Parts: sequence; structure tokens; C-alpha cells
Amino acid sequence: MNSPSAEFGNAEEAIILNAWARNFFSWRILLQSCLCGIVLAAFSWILWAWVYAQMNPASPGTSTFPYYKLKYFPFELVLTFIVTTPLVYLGMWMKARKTLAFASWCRRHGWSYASRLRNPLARTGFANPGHAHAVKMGRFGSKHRDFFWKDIHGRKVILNRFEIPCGDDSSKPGVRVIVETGTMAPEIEFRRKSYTELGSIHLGSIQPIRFELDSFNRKWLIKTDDPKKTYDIFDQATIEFLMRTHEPLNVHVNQGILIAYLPGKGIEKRIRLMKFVEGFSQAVPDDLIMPLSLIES
Amino acid sequence: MTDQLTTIIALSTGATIAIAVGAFILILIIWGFAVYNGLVRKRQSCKESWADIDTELKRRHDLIPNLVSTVKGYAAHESETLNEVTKLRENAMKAQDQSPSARSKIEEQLGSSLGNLIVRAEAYPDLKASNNFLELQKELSETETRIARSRRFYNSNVRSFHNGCQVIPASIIAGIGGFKVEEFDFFEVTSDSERKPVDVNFNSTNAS
Repeated sequence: MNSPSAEFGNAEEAIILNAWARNFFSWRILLQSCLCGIVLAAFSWILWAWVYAQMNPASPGTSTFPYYKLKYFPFELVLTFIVTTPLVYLGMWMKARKTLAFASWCRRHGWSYASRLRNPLARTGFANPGHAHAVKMGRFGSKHRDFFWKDIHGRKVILNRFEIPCGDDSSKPGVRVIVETGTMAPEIEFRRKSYTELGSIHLGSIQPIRFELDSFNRKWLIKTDDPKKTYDIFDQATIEFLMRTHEPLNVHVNQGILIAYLPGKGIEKRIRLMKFVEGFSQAVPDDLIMPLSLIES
Repeated sequence: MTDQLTTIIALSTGATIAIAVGAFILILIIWGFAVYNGLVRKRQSCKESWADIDTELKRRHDLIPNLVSTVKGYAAHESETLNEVTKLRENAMKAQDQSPSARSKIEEQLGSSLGNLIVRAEAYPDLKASNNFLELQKELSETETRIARSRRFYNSNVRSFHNGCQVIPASIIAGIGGFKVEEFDFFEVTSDSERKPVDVNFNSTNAS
């Protein structure tokens, strides 16, 4: 059995990338901003000419809008283009810089990236995309975006952000990782225990699995249909690892897939989530969930 | 009129008390059934998890004759250790009807003796190179892992059953239902040698 790794490779680099994209210049953004600049300049020129015509109705030659303006060189058109194009470029870059940062980070670390991805399990080559139904993807929130995916020794990994529903039509941002476990581990759901659940546990509507360590039972809520296998998974090393974990994590294992999610957004949360999955897979006995290194050191 | 009203109030008070007492008794009965069923389930879990341990122990017993004959073929000088393992295996097989705590002591001795045999086998390079021996060693190691896992699960079920029998007020239902703590013992490891993992160095060529 391997011990969970304490250090994490290029976390800092990834976090820096979140704040600043390295490639400021993009032909695509330049082209788009030029087109936007031309359109904006044209509209502003038409608007200006129309307003001018309204203000000077008696002026000769102004009754047939906007032909009178064609007699002069359209300085305002050029000026508007010069002013608006860089502003549009900056705006578009600001909007796209996170995507560029993610794409750049993915390129350098062997991940693939897409800001949107329909049917992610099938598109990223999971062994059995039908598992998507089994794990009830819809249950894990909505507005999934910013997908990272990778093949690690034949096992697929997807990382993305999404919106976690909060019940009252509101939602909060979250990050999620989906990993092929490489084994057929039993169906397990575990998460940090909240005080609101204590009543349900005492009344018996939630029946968690209890382990030897009381502090662990107080900290984590574990539900399963197969207590025997779950006991095998949550051995001493796994319990010790989870006792060291302080994130408000939710983890589901079902039909060869592990899904873990964490409230919050940003690359820091992704890193923490990947760190957790890496540590968890290394703490669990290898025959139950195969160890996985998500980020190379 | 006043007398009639007093009678009605007295009747309704009596009825209310009767309903309250009835509801309390009903809740008590439902709770009693729930506790009883819970204890039955815990007892069943203990039996099932003990059956798992039993299966794994039987598997270990089945592996030993092959291991002994393989070692004998390469290391005839280890007859004393081999005889000890064979004898302990016989004792363990005879003790199959005994309580878990009694069996745990015998199985512990057998496990310790097996560990000793494996360590002694390190001194014989031909034996170490034998595919049959390596296969048996691997199977034995996997069986030991499964025994350890089953033991942990069994002990947790026993602990849960014991708590169910001893915690007040569930202990009242346990007493009425005939659930006793003595029904299931813990299957424990007591010796330090068994607690420590066996350190086997495959690269070593020197006899220990």
C-alpha cells in the first residue's frame, strides 16, 4: 500500500495562471475586435449623422439623410474605430483570459480543455459512458463548464466546474472530478457531516456506516449498500487520510467511477480536489481503487 | 345541567388520559419492535461476517499442505518447522466448532508458525525461485489480507451487537429477546508478532 503523497507538484504555477494568462496576443481576438470596431464605428457614425440631421432640419442638403456626410472624409468613423477596437480587444481578452490560461496550462501538462462539453463521459472516452446514467449526472448540478480531461495509464479523468443546486432555486459554484477507479468498487457515498444531519441520523432516516474511530464517525458520513467492501476500502490508512482532510467534500463511488466535488471556484479548488482524489486513491488498498497520480510533480 | 357538564368533562378527561396512555404504549411497542429487529439484524450480520472469516481460514488451511510439500521438496532440514505447522493446522481444523476467541488464539499460533516457515524458506534460493512456492506465497499473502479485512468487519459487527445489548434502554429489549453479549466474541490479535507485518526480503540471498 502506498502512503498518500503530502506534496503537490505544480500547484503554485497553476494558481498563478489563474490570475494572469501568458499569451496576451491572439489573432482570433484581434479579428473579432476589429470586426466589432468596424460595426461599432459604423453604427456610431449613422447615429451621429442622424442626430445632426435632426438638429439642423433647415440646412441645405440635409433632408436626404445621410448623403450630405459623404461629401467629407469620415474622420469620426476612423476615430471611433481607433478608440473602440483596442477597448473591445481588451474586454474580449479579459473575458477569455481564464480560458486561455486553462488551455495553456492544459497544453503544457498533457490535459485537454474545452469550455463546454456535451455528454462529457462519452466524448472523453470513458470505458462505459452508460455509467453517466448510473451515476445520475443531473444530480451533480448544472451549468457544467471548463472541462479538463486526461488519460492517465488508460484511466480517464474529467475535471470541471459547475453549479451546485441549493434547493431554493439558488445555486453555488463548485468544482467536480470524475475518475475511473480501475476496479468495481461498491456504491459508496461519503461527505463531511453537517450538524443539520445529526437529527436524521439519531432518528434513523440516515443510517451511516460506523467505524472504530469515534472522531472519524463524527467528522464523516458514509453510506453504502455493501458494508463489507466499504470496511475494506476505509482501512486504517484511508481513515487517517480522511482525518487529515478538512475540505467540505462530497464523494460518490459507483460502477467503476469516482465523483468528488467541492464548493467554490477557481484553480485553487481544482488543485485541492485533485490532491484529495490522488491521496484518497493512494490511501485505499490498491485492489479496491487503483492509485492515481493526477498531476505530475 | 352543571352536573351533566361535569360528567362530560370528567369523561373527556378520562378519555384523553386513556388515549395518551394508549399512544404511549403503542409508541413503546413500536420502539420495542424496532430495537428487537435491529438486534436481530446485528446478530445476523455477526453470523454472516463470521462465516466470511471461516471461509478464509478454511482457505488458509487448504493452502498449507501444498506449501508444506513444496518446502519439503527443497528444504528437508526444516522438518521441525514443517511438523509444527502441520500440527497446528490439525489443531486449527479440530477447533472449528470453538468460540471465536478460542479459535483466534489457535489461528494466531498457526499464522505465526507460517510466517516463521516463510522466513526460513528465504535461506533456500532454489525454493525461493520455485514458481510453485512463489504462487503459494502470493495466495497465502492474499488470504492473510482477506482474513485481516474480514476480522475487522466481524469485530465491528460484534461491537455494534454488544453495544445494542448493553446500552440502556435497548438492553431491556435485549434481555427480553434473549440476546446475550456472550453469543459473539471478538476475533482478536493478541501477540505482538502477529500484529507486526512480516518483513520478507526477496533480494536477500543469505541464510537467516
